[in-house]
Amino acid sequence: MKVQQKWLSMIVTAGLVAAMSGCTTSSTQTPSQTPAGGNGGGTTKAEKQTVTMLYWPGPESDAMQKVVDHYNQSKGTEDGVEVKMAPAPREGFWEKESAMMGADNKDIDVYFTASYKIGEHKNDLLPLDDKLGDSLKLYIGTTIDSLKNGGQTYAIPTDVSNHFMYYRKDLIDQLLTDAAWQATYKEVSKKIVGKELTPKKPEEWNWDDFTATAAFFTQSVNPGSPTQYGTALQAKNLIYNVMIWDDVLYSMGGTWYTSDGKANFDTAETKRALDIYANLTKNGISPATASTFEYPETNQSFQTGKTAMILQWSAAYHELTDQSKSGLIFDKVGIAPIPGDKHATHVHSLGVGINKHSEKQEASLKWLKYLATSEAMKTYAENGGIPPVADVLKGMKEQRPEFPYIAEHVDQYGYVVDTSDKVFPILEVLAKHFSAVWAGQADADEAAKKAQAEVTTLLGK
Amino acid sequence: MQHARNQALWMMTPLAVVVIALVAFPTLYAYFVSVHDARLSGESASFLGLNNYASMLTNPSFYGSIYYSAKFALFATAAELVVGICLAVLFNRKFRGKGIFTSLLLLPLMVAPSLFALIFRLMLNEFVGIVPYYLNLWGITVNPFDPAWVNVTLVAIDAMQWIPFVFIIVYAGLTTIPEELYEAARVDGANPIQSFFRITLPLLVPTLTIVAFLRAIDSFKIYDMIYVLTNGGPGELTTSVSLFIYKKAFLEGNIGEATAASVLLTFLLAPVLALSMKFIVRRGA
Repeated sequence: MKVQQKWLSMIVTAGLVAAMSGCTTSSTQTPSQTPAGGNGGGTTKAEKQTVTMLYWPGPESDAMQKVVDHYNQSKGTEDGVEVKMAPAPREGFWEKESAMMGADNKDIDVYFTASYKIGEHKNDLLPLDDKLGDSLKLYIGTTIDSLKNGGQTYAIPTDVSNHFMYYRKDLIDQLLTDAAWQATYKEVSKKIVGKELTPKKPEEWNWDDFTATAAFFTQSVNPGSPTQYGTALQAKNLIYNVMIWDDVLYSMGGTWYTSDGKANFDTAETKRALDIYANLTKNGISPATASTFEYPETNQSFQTGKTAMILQWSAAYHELTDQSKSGLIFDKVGIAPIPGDKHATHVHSLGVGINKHSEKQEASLKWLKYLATSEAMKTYAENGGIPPVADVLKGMKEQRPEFPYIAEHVDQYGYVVDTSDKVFPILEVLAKHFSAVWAGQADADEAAKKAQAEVTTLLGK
Repeated sequence: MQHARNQALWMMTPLAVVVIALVAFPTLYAYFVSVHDARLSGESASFLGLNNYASMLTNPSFYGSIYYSAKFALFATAAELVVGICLAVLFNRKFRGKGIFTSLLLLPLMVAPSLFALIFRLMLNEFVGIVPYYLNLWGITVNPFDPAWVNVTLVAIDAMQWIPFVFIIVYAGLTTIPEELYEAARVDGANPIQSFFRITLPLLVPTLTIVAFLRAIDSFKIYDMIYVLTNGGPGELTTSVSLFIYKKAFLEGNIGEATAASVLLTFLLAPVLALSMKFIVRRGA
């Protein structure tokens, strides 16, 4: 089986490598001319080793190219290493990379990976804990956790993703100061969450506050609302939307697994977290069309001034505060932690690890050692990356105001849900059952039970 | 004679190689994979016997997705046939601007289905879409993606893309019907509706059978539009069998079960296809 898979994978790989060789700049030396297993350190320029790094295209690769260029011109010369970026199309990237890994490919020395892929990729990556040692302490701890599997770190994080609650500062400021609005808020909160609440600062919100405030800013509940809807949930049947809903679950103390690693979905926390979404939909606080919403639709709801707050990925800040893209609200965007008695944000990282089958592991390690420095990560951040290095993020407050928030939230509220090879199948099960609840099509209790049964089967426990 | 036979064999070799490489090998390999615990992660796969088949045959989601695909194919094909025939009959006469209108009508065919779906994802977007904007102006607040309406929306979008296909084939069929038949019917006092049902429709049956067959197969396989618009949700309300198999393979990473589902689907559809082909060939003959 493995043999046949390898043959098929090798055909795919050969095509991909042929395509890449046409896209990338030619190196001074071909892999076949490179001494296998040599480290290249302290050698002459003619013996410089070329390390090929597979990376996906887009803003991440644009930023990484600057770091690569800088390394090749400075430390790389000293190390006797030249790094070459090998782009592959973003569409189907993971499948192509899996095919290369399946073929025990040696042409790629450094693989691109992610928290949700590390469980699949670990068999083809070198553990880095002993090799990089204290260098790993450069990164925010949660992001290193997000690239660990079985206690071993298989990659270093280059970009981090988390969630924020984005809100309209102008509206919330008025709510906190306007007595008439506050009186209405009490009535609305009594009607929707069953309690008379008083408005609080967004950093202090739990889910009752979120629901009450969102209801207050919904015209069908409060005709005086300046926005049509309080919020716009990302409720499409999509695994990335489950990652956002997970914040509600974790903020309520729920988890995917019990302490002994069993599925943990048939719980009161899961049902309460599902009910939060279901009630927002049922009461028209989030649009009914949200059952087809993912990242762009939720952004659009906020950009057009139709919603007062959204739960969204940290990457959205740049777009929401760009005057050319968000002319109506770009100067009114506030950031707060995801609501909850215990704030919680999903964290996942993109990163790079060394191919276990590479013949240039030592040279690759030199590159990764450079990458795991503040200097490299700063260059990366200055060119559009979001490296999970607290000092770098905090130091860029002027250029990227959201960076300090990312550092703070990932560190204080971040959680890593799972890095096993089961993460995608489980997300898929949850998306299938929970999206029906979010859209008001299924009962929370029934969905939680179904998810529990299917995830238990997947885990084999 | 022997030389000619050898030559023929040599000439057939390239085709035989292509057929073996692109049809026979993948098919046999699919059967092989379907009885193994094959994973996307490429871990070595153990032999499972018929477990993957048993797993699929006891999976309600699998049956649900087949039912959904069949239902979708039925409604989409029916809608496309009815509107396509009407348009073809409408266009089967001389009128000013016929060429331009025909070209415009065929435009949706030139667009990739996923792109077509993306266009509708934007057009139906509640916040930036042109359709909700004008509906709101007229006081209509229908949510096209409401669970009660989502299937109507999906069928309508599919129909908008493929009605031109039905139109062009039926239109070609109409041009082959001799004008003398209509003249004779007129002389006998038949009105246009009687002419349509007594002459046009019966003579179009072979064409319609082929069109219906092609559209039914294609809409049964529906994947890209649903993937872009609803991704099978909410819940599994719009999960077609193609999407089910895709998710099984690439999200769950269970290549073995996904392949078993594909093989089962082949067995399920084979008798239907055989009967349809028999019918078409007989009609054609």
